[in-house]
Amino acid sequence: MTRVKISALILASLIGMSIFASVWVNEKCSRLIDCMDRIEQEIQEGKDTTVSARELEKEWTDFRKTASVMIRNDKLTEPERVAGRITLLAQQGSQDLPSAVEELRHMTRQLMHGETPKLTSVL
Amino acid sequence: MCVVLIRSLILYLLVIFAVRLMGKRQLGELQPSELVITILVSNIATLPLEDVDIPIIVGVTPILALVCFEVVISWLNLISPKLRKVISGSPKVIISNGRIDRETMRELRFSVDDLTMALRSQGIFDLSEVQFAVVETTGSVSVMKKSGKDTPTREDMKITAKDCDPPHVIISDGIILNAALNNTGITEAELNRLLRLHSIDSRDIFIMTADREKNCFCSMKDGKNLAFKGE
Repeated sequence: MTRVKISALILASLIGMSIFASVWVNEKCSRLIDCMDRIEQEIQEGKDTTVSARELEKEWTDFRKTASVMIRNDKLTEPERVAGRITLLAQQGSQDLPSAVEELRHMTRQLMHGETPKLTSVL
Repeated sequence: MCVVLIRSLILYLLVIFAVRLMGKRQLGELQPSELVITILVSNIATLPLEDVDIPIIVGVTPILALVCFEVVISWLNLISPKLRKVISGSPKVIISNGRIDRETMRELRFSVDDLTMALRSQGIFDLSEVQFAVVETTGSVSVMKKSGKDTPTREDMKITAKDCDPPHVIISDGIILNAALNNTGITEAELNRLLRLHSIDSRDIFIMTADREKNCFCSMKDGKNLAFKGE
């Protein structure tokens, strides 16, 4: 009976941790997307995007540290590569900044979808 | 390399924990679901070992989930005969009253070669000796011989014998095992007296067994064996 109780406890913990991980990833990715929306708005308004880009980079670094414990490295490698360029592009006022932000947004959405337990992501 | 080493140690401990959690049933004959879980766990455990890009928690989660789910299902099997039948199936009789049930053999896809091989593994080389045979849910075959062909028991030969439990190991590598000693009904003081009587130091004993009748057997560290009976 002890084994059954331990197993039930472990199962409940795993379920709790999985739900927490899914919620956390969704929340963090939503914040990242908000940062990207701000950068896009600033680009459209012709404002300096450096501060927002740095904020995005900081958010991404924070997210990456914890996400690497629960998400495969290969899912984070590409977004990491793109996110690393954004601050530099913003500082240089490069024309590539909008496409880089859009690319990162797309990858972030994919990450969110992958970690959300929907039918399409499970199957 | 350091990372791989630490991950290997973690996964080793986890697999040991998982096997222990599944219990002694896992180490004996396997039910179909247990066999599936064993194979799955061994395969899943290798993935985070081979690929350091996989977080350890992504490797640990399916192992723990499968093992814990199996333990919970096996508990539910205990309390629900219907569920037990669905998951483990039920034993099938293939020989009854000495007659082979071909229909059941066909249902089980059990060939004549499978049957004779299973009987040979039980030490039966003559089909005419078999009274009753059952294919268990694990796939093994349990056989009952005809009375006339079976090994006679003491009861058949009208020989009386006293029932007693098997001996317990009470000293292992010089250390007295108190829990086992309690099972024999011998106290530690009594044990020490017995050993003194036979000029034996417990530290020189490799293994000592005793039963409730106080029949003792010592295998010494120097290779000598001693058997004696306590009073």
